[in-house]
Amino acid sequence: MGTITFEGKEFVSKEGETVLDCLLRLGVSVTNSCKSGVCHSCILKTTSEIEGKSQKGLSDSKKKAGLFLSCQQQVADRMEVFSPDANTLFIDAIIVDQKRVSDSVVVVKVRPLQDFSFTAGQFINIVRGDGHCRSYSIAGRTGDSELELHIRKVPNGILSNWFYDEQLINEKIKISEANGECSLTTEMKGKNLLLIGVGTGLAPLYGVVQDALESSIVEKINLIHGSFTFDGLYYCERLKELEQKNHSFDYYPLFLKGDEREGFIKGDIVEFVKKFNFEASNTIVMICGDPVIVKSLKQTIFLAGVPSRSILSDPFVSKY
Amino acid sequence: MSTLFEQLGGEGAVDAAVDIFYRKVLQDDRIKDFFTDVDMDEQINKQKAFLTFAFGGPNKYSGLNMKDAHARLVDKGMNDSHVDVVIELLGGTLKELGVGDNLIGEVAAIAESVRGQVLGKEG
Ligand SMILES: Cc1cc2nc3c(=O)[nH]c(=O)nc-3n(C[C@H](O)[C@H](O)[C@H](O)COP(=O)(O)OP(=O)(O)OC[C@H]3O[C@@H](n4cnc5c(N)ncnc54)[C@H](O)[C@@H]3O)c2cc1C
Ligand code: HEM
Ligand code: FES
Repeated sequence: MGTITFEGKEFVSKEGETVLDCLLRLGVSVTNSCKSGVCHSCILKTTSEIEGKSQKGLSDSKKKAGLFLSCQQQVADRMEVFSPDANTLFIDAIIVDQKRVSDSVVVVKVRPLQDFSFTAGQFINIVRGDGHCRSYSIAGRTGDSELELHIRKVPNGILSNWFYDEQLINEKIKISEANGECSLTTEMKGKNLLLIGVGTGLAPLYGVVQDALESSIVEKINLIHGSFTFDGLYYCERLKELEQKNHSFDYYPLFLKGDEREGFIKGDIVEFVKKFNFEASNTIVMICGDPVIVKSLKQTIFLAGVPSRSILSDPFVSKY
Repeated sequence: MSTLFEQLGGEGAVDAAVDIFYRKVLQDDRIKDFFTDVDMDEQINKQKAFLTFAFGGPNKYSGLNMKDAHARLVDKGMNDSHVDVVIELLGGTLKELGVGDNLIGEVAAIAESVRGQVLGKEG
C-alpha cells in the first residue's frame, strides 16, 4: 500500500497496484492503451524514486526529467506524481485520407500539424477527441509527410471500428511521437532481412521494405505476410509488383482458411517459417502483429539459429 | 589472481553463452516445458542473470531470491533431476565455447551450491 500525491490531491493505492490503475480506479483520467509497457502513452512525471522497468525504452532526456510509464510502476510508500506537459508528448494531427482495402482493413492517412519525425517501422499513439488512445504502426517511408496507417477492425473494438466505419476526413486527432523496435539501422548494413507480418502486422514492415529498397543498406529482403483468410492479404498486388521490379525482394503471401489460390500459399505461418530456408546467422528478423503468434514465431526463429539480438518485434498487444 | 568470472571472459562470455544455453534449454524435452510460456526477451534477461551468477559474476541474487524465483516451478514439479539437466546443459554450453574442464567444474560447483535454495529446501 502507498500514497500518491497528484495535482495537490492524495490517492491511496491497494496492495501491488500500479500508479496508472490506482489513479484510474479513483477517477483520475490518464491516457493509456496497452498496459504492458509497450506503447508509452501512459507517461507521467515524478520526483520520487522509481523502478528501472518503468523507464525501460525511454530516452535519456525523458529519464532525467523524471518521466516514467505509469502502467509499469507499482505505487511505492509515498510518491509525488505530476502530469507531464501534454504539449510535448502529443501533437495535433488531421485525418486526410481513408480507404477500405478489404472487408476488415482500412488504410488511413494522417497529417501531423506540428513538427514530427519518424523512422519507417515505428508506431504512434493516436488519441481520439474523447481521450481513447491506441497504437498504430506507420506504413510509410522515413520522412513521409503524411502517415499511412493500416487498421484492422476487431470485433467490438472501439477505435478500429471508428476508423473503419465512420467518415473521418478532416477529423482532428492527437498523435504521440514515434517509437518501436522494427526499424533499419546502419548496423544492419550488408545483412539480409526476414520480415514476418501477421494481419496488419504488415504495416510497419511495408515501410521497412520501401526504406530498404531505396537505401540498399541490406542485401536480400524476404517478406512473409500471413493472414487468416485470403481477403486479409491486402496490398498483395502492389507487393507482387514490387517483387517483380526488385531482384533483392521476395514476397510470400500466406493464408490459413479457404480454397487454394494460384500464386498464394495456403497454410499455417508458424509451420511455414519453421521450414523457411534462409541464412540464419546473417539475417535480421522483424516480426509484427498478433502477440500470441509473434511470441511463437520469435521462438521458432531463434531455434532456427538467429541470434536473439537479431530478432526484433512489435507485438500488437491490447489491454483486453 | 583474476576471478572465475574474468577468466571466463566476463560479460562478453555471458552474452556469448546465453543464446547457446537458451537454445539447448528450449530443445530439451526433459525441461523445456518450464520455459516455453515465458516471453523470449524476458527469458533472455533471466538467463543472463542465471549465467552471471553461475560464472561467479557480480550477483544481485541472494539465496532468498533464488528460492522465490523458482517457487512457482517447484509447484509445477521441478526436482533434483531438473537441476541435474540444467547443470549438464550449462557444461555443454561452455564446452562449445571452448572452456576447459577445470573452469567448467568450478561453474558447476557454483550452480550446485544453490541447489537446495532453488528447490526451496533451504532458506
Ligand atoms: C505497438 C503497437 C502497434 C500496433 N499497430 C497496429 C497497426 O498498425 N494496425 C492495427 O490494426 N492495430 C495495431 N495495433 C493494435 C491497436 O493498437 C489496437 O489494439 C486495435 O486496433 C484494437 O483497438 P480497438 O479500440 O478497436 O479495440 P478495443 O476497444 O481495445 O478492444 C475491444 C475488443 O476487441 C478485442 N480485440 C482487441 N484486439 C483484438 C485483436 N487483435 N483480435 C481480436 N480481437 C481483439 C478485445 O478483446 C475487446 O473485446 C498496435 C498495437 C501496438 C501495441
Ligand atoms: C542450478 C541452479 C539454478 C540457478 C543458479 C538458477 C538461477 C536463476 C536466476 C538467477 C533466475 C532469474 C530470476 C529473476 O530474475 O527473476 C532464474 C529464473 C528461472 N529459472 Fe533458474 N536457476 C537454477 C536452476 C533452474 C532449474 C533446474 C530450472 C527448471 C528446470 C530453472 C528454471 C528457471 C525459470 C523458468 C526461470 C524464470 C522464472 C520466471 O520467469 O518465473 N532454473 N534462475
Ligand atoms: S506503456 Fe503504459 S499503457 Fe502502454
